[in-house]
Amino acid sequence: MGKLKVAFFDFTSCNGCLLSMINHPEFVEVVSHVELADFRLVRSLKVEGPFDVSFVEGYPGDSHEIERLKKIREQSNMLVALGACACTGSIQSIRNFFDLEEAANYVYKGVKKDIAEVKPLDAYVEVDFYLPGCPASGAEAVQTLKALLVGRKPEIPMHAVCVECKLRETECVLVQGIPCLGPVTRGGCGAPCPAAGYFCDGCRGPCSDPNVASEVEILRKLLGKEEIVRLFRRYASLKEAFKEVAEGKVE
Amino acid sequence: MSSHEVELITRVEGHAVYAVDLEKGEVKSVRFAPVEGARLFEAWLRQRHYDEVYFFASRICGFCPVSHNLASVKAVEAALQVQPSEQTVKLRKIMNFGEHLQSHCIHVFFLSLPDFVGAESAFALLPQYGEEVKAAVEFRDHANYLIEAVGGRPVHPMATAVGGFRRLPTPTQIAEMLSRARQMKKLLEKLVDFYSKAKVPEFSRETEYLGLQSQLEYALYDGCLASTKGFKAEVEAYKQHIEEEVREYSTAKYYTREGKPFMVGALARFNLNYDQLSDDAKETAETLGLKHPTYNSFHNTTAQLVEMVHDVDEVLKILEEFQDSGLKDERPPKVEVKPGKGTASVEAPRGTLIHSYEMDGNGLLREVDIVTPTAMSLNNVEADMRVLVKENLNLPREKLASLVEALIRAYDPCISCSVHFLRK
Ligand code: SF4
Ligand code: SF4
Ligand code: SF4
Repeated sequence: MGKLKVAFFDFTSCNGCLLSMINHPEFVEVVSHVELADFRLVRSLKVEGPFDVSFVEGYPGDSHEIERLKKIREQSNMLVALGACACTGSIQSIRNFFDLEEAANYVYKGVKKDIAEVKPLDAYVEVDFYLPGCPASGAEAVQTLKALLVGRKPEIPMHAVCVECKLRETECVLVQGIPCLGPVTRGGCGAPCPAAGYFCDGCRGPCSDPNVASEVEILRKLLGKEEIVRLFRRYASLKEAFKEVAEGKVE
Repeated sequence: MSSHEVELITRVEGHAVYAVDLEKGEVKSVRFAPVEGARLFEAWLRQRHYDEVYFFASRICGFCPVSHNLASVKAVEAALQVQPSEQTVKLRKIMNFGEHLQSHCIHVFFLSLPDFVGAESAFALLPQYGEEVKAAVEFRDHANYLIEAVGGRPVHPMATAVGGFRRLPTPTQIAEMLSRARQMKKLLEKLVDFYSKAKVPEFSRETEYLGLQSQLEYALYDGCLASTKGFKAEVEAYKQHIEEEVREYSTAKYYTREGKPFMVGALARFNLNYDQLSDDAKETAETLGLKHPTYNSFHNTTAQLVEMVHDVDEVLKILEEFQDSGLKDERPPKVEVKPGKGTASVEAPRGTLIHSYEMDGNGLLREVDIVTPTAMSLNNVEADMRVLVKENLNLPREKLASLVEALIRAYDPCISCSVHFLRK
């Protein structure tokens, strides 16, 4: 059997997910076992498709990128969405709550534009595996590559972030009266944000069966309605579970 | 190269194309244009709360999230008239240095050096220079640790707060940072040696070199705007001095000062503030044959390495002090929300970065303007390209293309940062 042919593509993004992956101490070792195809961020050499696996960071930001994404899909046996931009639109999706025309005018002062609404990859093509997070976890990306190398199906957790606070013994910030989306957010990140004195602001999108109603009830004691809406409009407002609150349906 | 030939450039952050238009052996036009989808950060940061925008701002760029995070939180502080403590400023400087160190390290050794030794990528360097590449990887890991220990994680830190930090590094982390900074100092010897193998192309075109300047130090975290042409202004007044311009062919925002291109970044800082570099940094410049001032834009990469030496020296100073006296248990101050305007700047790895906000009485942003270093240098990239192509017209097409690409890459352009770009 030949080597696994892997490509890394970046669309409109901040490149923070690819960087987090490259930063992982095992990354260089792991890629030495694959046939590294396209990786524009770090190399000049281009290897033509088809690819066994394509990792895609970012979301398609204009009509050209939408076409490019479709071509990559055609050439890839497996397509992995790398990071929140690719999985859910990430914080860029906040823009969807603005009138696009007005927003573009604010920045470009009337210049013509080709701007797509912010949508994740699966709004355009089929996605086989999701690596959530803003940034995506470098450890999960490396772990996914390793699983694929030995022909195993990659798997990452679906439980809530709270589970990981308990594991690392972080004092719960929600209990201290700081709003936190951890109870409804997908873990796997190791809950670094509450541990850094911040809170989970939901960058990995909803966990499995999130109890959003109960979360909103708890938050309602700490925040005004508009603040709750803003919180749900951060990374994953397009997700079914978060959509209603993000669109302002809060009592 | 001929008209309509557009190449997507590799080994840079984000997507950009360049084109050179030749007619009858003359350079007719050149352009360098990022083509990533427009992200419109300035538009959607409006109506968001001051206590979240500096986390969103970091998402402008995964290569310099700390710079955006800091410029943003400083702009918020300016609007709210909050004065961060001395300790806070020192901790922020560690993050800022950490980012410069990791970003420069990646750019010098993984993105640019391959050009100067004729390799396709850092992967291609491995067989011959395994040891050296390993040293660069180690160096980068240490730099990332500096950001992580203070900011919470290397990409998109979350421990910063208005006026302070949400969580302070522990004594163990301070000791670990210090030990790693000392290792970085050692690794630099090897890295400088490695870099001296690079053949940096000959080129010269003098321009205006602009950056932050301070009487106290080689300015990175704070200062006023200054240039090698004697220009000086408060950061708040940037709009009166730096003109924004929309070009027909790229709908990008390009910047000029008094109608002319200027350069920001490591080389600009080197030319502007050379005297304030650490002694070892100056010595490194001499070892690498980097004269002050230098008008060869390819040497931006060399200047980055010189800055790496300086930055490690500065980090060591702060950490040694923290190691001796320990950190005070400071919490972010209580903030009184009021309407106001705030403009602030830091030196990002690629140059001066400005965030400017107007805030309402509810703490929501109303007006946002962000000027990124890559955007400020764009005009200068094109001006350089024009001269470089003209001087090398005799080269075969492919060689000329690689040379132009190497020039662009030497600028270390950060396309995600140039939020203003649109495809034609
Ligand atoms: S998900 Fe976050 S870190 Fe990743 S590319 Fe998007 S903005 Fe950057
Ligand atoms: S801090 Fe947040 S994520 Fe952690 S346990 Fe509490 S609610 Fe859950
Ligand atoms: S704790 Fe929450 S915000 Fe932080 S990385 Fe995990 S999912 Fe993202």
